[in-house]
Amino acid sequence: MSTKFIKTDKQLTCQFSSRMDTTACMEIENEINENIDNFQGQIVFELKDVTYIASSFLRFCGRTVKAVGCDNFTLVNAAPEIKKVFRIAGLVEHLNIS
Amino acid sequence: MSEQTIQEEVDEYLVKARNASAVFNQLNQEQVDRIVNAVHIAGLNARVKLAKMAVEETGIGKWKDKVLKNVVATQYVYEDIKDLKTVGVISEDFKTGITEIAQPLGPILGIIPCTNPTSTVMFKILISLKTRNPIILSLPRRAEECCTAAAKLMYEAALQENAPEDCIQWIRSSNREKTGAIMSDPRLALILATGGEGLVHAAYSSGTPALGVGPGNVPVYIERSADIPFAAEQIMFSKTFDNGTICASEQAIIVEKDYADQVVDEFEKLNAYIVPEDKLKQLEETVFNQERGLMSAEIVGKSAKYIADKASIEVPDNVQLLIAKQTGVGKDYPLSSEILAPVIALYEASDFDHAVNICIDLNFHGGMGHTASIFSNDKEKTTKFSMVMNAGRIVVNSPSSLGAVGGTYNTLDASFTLGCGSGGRNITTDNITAKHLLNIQRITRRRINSRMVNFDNSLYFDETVKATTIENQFNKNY
Repeated sequence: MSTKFIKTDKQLTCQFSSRMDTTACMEIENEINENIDNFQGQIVFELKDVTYIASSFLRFCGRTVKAVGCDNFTLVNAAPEIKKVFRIAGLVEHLNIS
Repeated sequence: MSEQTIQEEVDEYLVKARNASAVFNQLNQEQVDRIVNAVHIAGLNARVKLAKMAVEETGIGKWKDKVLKNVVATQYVYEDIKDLKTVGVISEDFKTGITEIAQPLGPILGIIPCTNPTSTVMFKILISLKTRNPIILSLPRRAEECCTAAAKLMYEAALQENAPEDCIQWIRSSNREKTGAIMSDPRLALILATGGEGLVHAAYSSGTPALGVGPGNVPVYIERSADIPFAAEQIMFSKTFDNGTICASEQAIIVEKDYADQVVDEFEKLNAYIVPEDKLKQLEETVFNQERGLMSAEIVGKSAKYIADKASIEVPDNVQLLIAKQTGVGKDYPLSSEILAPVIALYEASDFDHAVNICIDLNFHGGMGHTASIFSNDKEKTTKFSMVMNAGRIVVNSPSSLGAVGGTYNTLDASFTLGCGSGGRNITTDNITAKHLLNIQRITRRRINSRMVNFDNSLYFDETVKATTIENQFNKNY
């Protein structure tokens, strides 16, 4: 499990991989928060390789959208199984997910 | 507490439950089964502690019987559901072309009664987790502490096996307002309503799908072919089990006149007390609240001795059951109603038909759809009796309380939510279990009805063609 942060002037992309379970989320929580808190611009969560997400990951998303606003936060390349998780959680209305 | 704060609290439960539901959706059968196994073990290990807590907190029932209820709610329920497929493809039939896929429902609200508190908590948690549904528990004020303890230990066991966070929640200081607000929230998928008539009605009126129960008023007919000492012993055990708190426990014994004395003798040998006619009024006033038209809450789950003392009826110290001879059924005969305590009515009938007619009257006097019971070795009479009862369960030659709950005296699904069909204003007469908490999707592959292919559809549009002609043509075997 590794999370990559790719920064450009206007965009911070967080690339997550495989299982974002409670343990994985706890391990990267500080790093993510730091990166997001110190960045002005678009935040993108890249979910292409994500196969599982825990409640903690949903909370990351909730926290991020609160911090930067809906217009500045996007989740991209979610597999259908992951898209369904956001749909069931009722977060699709509050997040930009593609 | 202001309405806004209640709404905020309700929101918190439901947001968490919905997140848990989303995460749960990703788990496979193996992961789910590991969670359910761990949770049932945790519950079973705590069976005695929780039983003692429940009796101490509510003052209802007997701790040893509550232990057995906790065992049924964990070990027996687990045995019933452990091999059930509840995730993904659960069946595939090439012939019909139908593949069934099990999907969870979503957040469930479990309403818990104070008569069977910890057992119902554990039962509802197990069947919810088995089907990947998060559960929010609405706890009775009288049993909040023991129910919270049960829920907590099961939640901790579930988390140990990587269950989603908040897959089990319980409402802090449950009350009607909070429970009502959750019930009617569109984020809730289902209500598992076990409790009094008012509460079940509120669940059905909330607009959210509900699986409820109905009140019982169980007649037990000791038919002449029965083994009378055995029947008396079984009824005695059943009606005094946890001081009569199971809604499927016997409420009235029906016998025929010519062997009534023998039945009474057998009960007396087992420490039952026949309440003298001149004391019946005192008993009625003690166990029945005429104003509300219901049993009196203060005597629910109390011992026979306690009730007799309260009614100022002198009884031996070892009395186990109070038997009250009755001659009629209905509101003029309070003891013909459901009393969840070791008090039972006794009717003498002139013959089989008369006995069954009394059973029908009792069954329709507040117990429709629930349970009826018979002791008999005559198959024909047993069937005849069963055909005229409006009951989801007709328990034969067994204690009706545990018999209806299932898993011990028969092969009914072990359950603490007994559906009562349309008679009890419910959707099913089943013993509610995990299979009721699933959405079953059906992939239906193309399988053409050959009769349709060979049929001349234009016949449908010709008004002069009769139905018989259409059906003959449709079913023509070329």
